[in-house]
Amino acid sequence: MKQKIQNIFVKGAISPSFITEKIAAHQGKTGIGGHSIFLGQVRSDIVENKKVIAVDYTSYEAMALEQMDSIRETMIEKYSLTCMHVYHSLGKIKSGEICLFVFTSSPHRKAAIDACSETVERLKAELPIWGKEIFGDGSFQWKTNQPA
Amino acid sequence: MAVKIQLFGQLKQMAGISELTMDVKDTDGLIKEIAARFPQIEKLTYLIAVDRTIIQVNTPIKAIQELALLPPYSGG
Repeated sequence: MKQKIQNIFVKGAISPSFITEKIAAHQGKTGIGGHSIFLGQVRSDIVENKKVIAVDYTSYEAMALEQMDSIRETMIEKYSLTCMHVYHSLGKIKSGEICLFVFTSSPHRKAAIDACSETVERLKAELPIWGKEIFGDGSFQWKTNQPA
Repeated sequence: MAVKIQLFGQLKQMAGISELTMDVKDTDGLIKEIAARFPQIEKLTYLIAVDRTIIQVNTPIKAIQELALLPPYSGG
């Protein structure tokens, strides 16, 4: 059954309490035997002696949501997931804060783990989202994603 | 025919605008116009999305379509 398009975008950082609430919300789904969670955290890289203090995320939201919906549908079908949730921050996220939360659930662990990993790789490669790394002195550079 | 084009990420920052209107008939024409109008972004690579789908070959542009220029992604 086709589910409606989920909004993945969260304004600002993803809080630890938001994550625990999402985990707790699955206690009623007793067919689940394993969850897999990936959390992306803003890293304080040092570039030419300047430290990244935040990443400012923007997106072509309409396209990103359509792309994510297609990835989600593929993952649910391929791994027979019970459910799957993705949240990505928009706006300025300070280093050390969480900017990405991928949460997959299935009756057995392997499917949840594999689906979580594949989803993270695909969304980094396929979603039109851009991160601007901001340094302590106010200057910035555009983030480029690493292969893994 | 005049179409609205959305710019994102580094393209938006370097061009100094998030949206513009251009009179072009296909995506090859669009690339030429963009290069002429914004020489500062000539060296940037970008993809073109027509109605939220990345196009790989020259594509005719119709007035109703949603056009966007997308620099390399860096989400997550």
